[in-house]
Amino acid sequence: MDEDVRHLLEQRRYSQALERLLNLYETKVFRMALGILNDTGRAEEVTQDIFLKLWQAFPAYDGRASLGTWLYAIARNTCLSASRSESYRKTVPLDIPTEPAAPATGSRDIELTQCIDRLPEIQRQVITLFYLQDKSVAEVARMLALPDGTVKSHLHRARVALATMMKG
Amino acid sequence: MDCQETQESILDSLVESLATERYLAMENHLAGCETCSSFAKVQHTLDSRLAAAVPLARPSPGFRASLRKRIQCDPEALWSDFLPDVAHLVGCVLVIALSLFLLPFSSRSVILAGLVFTSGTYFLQAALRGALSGLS
Repeated sequence: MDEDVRHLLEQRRYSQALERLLNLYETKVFRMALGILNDTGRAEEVTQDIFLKLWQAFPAYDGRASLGTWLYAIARNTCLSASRSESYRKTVPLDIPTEPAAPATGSRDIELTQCIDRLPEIQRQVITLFYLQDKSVAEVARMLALPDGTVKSHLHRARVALATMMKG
Repeated sequence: MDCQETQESILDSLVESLATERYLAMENHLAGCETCSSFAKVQHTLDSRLAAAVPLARPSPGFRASLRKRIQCDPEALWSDFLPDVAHLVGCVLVIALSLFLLPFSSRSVILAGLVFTSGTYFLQAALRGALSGLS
């Protein structure tokens, strides 16, 4: 699939390339933004920023990095700057009515959610992303540009910390 | 396998499937250790609760329409695609128009030569651009 998109980019068929990338990565990137930003509305705005940056960067894509790695690098940098900035730009409202992101399918476990929020930032991101991305350590590692082993070790620490918090 | 190794294996088993030998050693230890059994129980419950609690949210239905709208409003994006072609075409039209006034040939010949020149240079610059992007 990556090859198809590369081919489209070589032919400068950017709209089609974007459509393919949206089909492949839209939900993953949105969940990545959600995992990092912890706010559905903001995650959607930042996901739009990410794909807009990607669109603008298409002519500069040199094919050296895989498309997924390239996209995740843009996504990670955008999410991290968004999470750093206290005030963020409202992006969605043009003339399209704002709709809330699709409702979460997970049930509300307030006690657990509060405990997750108390974890150190990297552990919170890793454990949230792990469950958001279908329990794939490799995917989380690609998204956060961390070695698989580091992701596992953050996961382990987060689980132990959560168990301790919930006991207390 | 001691308690620390067993607990490490329990945590690993929640992330990936364990090798048979390691799995059997863990099970063996769990059968006789209450502390590790309790640890395993807590971790499995936590795993189920996490899986249920983390919202599998998706972007809103208007996400793509809104993104397309933003892309259309992005002047950089509009130009970056077509600028070389537009510049080439405008340049050729100007050269043909000037040639019509300056060259002592019939309009038909000048226009025909201009069209041949335009298509020739278009393919040349497209090939050059492809080669350059291949190099970079």
